Amino acid sequence: MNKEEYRQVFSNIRPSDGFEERIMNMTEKRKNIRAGRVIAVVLAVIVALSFVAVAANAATDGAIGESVSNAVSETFETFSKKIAVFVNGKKVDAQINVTEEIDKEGNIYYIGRAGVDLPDGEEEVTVSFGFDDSEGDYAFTSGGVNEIVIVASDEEIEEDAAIPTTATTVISQ
Amino acid sequence: MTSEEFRIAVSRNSHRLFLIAFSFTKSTYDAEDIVQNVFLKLWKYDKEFADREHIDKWLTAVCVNESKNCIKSVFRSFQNIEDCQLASPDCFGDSSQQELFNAVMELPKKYRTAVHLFYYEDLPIKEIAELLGVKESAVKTRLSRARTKIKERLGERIDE
Repeated sequence: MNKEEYRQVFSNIRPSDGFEERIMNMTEKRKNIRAGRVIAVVLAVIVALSFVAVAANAATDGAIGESVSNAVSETFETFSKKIAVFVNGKKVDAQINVTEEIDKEGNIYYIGRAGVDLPDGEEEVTVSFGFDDSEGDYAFTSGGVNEIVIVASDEEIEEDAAIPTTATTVISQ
Repeated sequence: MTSEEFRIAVSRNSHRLFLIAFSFTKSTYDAEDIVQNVFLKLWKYDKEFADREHIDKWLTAVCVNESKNCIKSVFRSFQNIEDCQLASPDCFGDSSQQELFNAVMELPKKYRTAVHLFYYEDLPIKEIAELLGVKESAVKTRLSRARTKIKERLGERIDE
């Protein structure tokens, strides 16, 4: 097998008739088209903890998230529920709103913003995040104060070292 | 992006992207869904591209990422796709083409996608590694193992 032979074989695999026309028509009616199989799992997630969100939501019960664009889909909501947020080691009922962004290289990121209440009298809390077990493919690979980056690990990278599945950040008033 | 620029992008890339998605999913139906979604993202993308090559590379990356997401999706997990799902099953000119196609399709996904990006897209190892999110050495290993498996299946030498 060489590249030319491979191309000849796979050039025979074609989409159904009228495929390109459907794509062109799709853009005309795009507002009526749901994203379809936009997926419940994530290539990459940046969870940014916002001081603004914390302050805005400090007076409310429980942890709540900042409202994001009206493009939040059911899929994203499902994903949000899979992130657990812990404040000082105690799980809190956080709502993380997630939006999709694509950079100039075509990398897809899902950016989540969460707000948490600071317990009374606390000037600084430690907040940690974790996926539930079903999202074990994903890992926190870097982070810093107010920002945690979660990058999907290819499931085939079995030779890589153990990947942490939780990360911690510190927020303070 | 204007409608004309979009039309050109679709014309230049739709089949190529369709085959990338197919190499992940083994289903022409899923591949069509993925490619439509990729072009929807292009249409909504509000940043400037440097040139056509930039658009093509952007589309490739988005297609790979969408394909990865598709095969990990909740919907997909309920499907049992062992065999290829082709819109036109009898599309090959001769039996040797069919045999090569079958041999590639029988490869594990991680080998199959690397093979497609290398042999069809003609991408260098470095770019394949970046697209798949693995090390260059892992891509080389996958290609090597894929060639071995195809060779065992077809009993022929595989060009590198």
